[in-house]
Amino acid sequence: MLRLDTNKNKPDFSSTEIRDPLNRVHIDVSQQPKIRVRNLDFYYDENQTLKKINMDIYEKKVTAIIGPSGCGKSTFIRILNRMSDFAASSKVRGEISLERRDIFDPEFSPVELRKRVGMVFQKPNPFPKSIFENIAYGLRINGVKNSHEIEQRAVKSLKRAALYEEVKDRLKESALSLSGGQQQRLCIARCIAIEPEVILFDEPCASLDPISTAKIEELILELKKYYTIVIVTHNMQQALRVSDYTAFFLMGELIEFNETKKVFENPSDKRTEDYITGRFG
Amino acid sequence: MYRHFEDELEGIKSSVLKMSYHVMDQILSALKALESRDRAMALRTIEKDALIDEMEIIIEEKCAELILRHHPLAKDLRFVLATLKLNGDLERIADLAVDIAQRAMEISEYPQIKPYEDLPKLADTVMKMLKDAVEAFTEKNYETAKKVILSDCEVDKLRDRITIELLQKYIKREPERADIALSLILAARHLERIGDHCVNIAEDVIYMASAKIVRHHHSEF
Repeated sequence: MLRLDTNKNKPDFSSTEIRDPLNRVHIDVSQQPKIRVRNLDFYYDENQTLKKINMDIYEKKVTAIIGPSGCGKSTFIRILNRMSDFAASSKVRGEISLERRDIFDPEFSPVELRKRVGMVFQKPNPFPKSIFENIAYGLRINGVKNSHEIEQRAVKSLKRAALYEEVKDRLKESALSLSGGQQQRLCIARCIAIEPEVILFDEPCASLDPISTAKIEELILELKKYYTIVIVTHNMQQALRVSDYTAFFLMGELIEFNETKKVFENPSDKRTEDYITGRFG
Repeated sequence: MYRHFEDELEGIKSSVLKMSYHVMDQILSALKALESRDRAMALRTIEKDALIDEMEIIIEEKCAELILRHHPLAKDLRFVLATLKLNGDLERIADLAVDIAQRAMEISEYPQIKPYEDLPKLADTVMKMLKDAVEAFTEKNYETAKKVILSDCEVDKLRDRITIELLQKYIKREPERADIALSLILAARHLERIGDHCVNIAEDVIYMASAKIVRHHHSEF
């Protein structure tokens, strides 16, 4: 991925205000955001898929990203841990900082970034290994050698992912024998085991039944005690249930970003209102 | 899906309008019975209240079903929340019309103690508040709703004037006519309470139109 470093100036960290594209003040908080995004543009070949995104992601809060298909929401979260680097012919411009550190800084390796910013995908993707190995493998490749420590961290992660009680007697069985919902929680446990600071969820319940969905949502609410969470979802009710902040994307633009209650009760922008009330298009 | 949802919203709005016309009719009928001391008309007013009770339940059921099926958000959510509340206010206004009709029955056997002056003024002001509140609801009009809230002072003043006059002139000086005077004081009190419900409706309209909760904060106008 080519980075267009046209803006030599570092992002301004002094301001505690964030403005939307129409320059309305949305949020004024004293706390420093975990992630700051400033003037982010993203291109696939010549197609600009994200345009001037400005947004703060707050620590130990859940931020939901909503918008119609193709609006750039998945692209956006994939940039946050530089998964977008894998897309050929892509270009990024603008600033993203994780705790004031530019994530595009050549000294900030993507591997280190992805340890700090984990990701859970739409479809559960466990390794074709045992339940235990799914977690142990990630720890080992991240340099954890002590088998006692690996075991401790695996159990802790499975407990935190609310899966341990269901699998404690069959840790050596294949992860592929688990149900879809259990597989997704295993993927969350695998992500947690690395002890990230931020977890990105890309439509984590898209392929799950309502009971598994409810478990994942409960889990997200529990996990925000420890982690900063960003979730892409097509489900408005899910965004309402789990998130503290909501960002509405449309055709690559961030149309509105505010507290979830405000966005769903009284959105500032007519396009947001049309989308969430089903009058879009 | 969207079209069906819109139809359901419109259906609820029409039902509220229909109910509000019946409620206005009930107040006018009760006031006429009071003015002309017409017992039969008062009785008819009391009997018609059941229709409004039924309408209240239908509107509530329609709102519950809409929430259940469509999970309304933003302006649609505010519309349903406001409608649920003002539905209850309209039903209470109809109950107060029944109360006025009962006062009409109480005084129907006695001659009129005095020409009514402030009572018709109070009735006109309250009816105007109700019409404006309903208009504000149908048009989602913040300014009209605000006007309704500000009218409430006038209603309180008229109610106080009627109470003081009847208390001093009749209850204290002519105790034999105290019953009639008391019924009229109560009728004024019922009208004033209708004004309070109109204020509630206007507050709900303001929430619906702007998402602002102005209840208990009228001084901010």
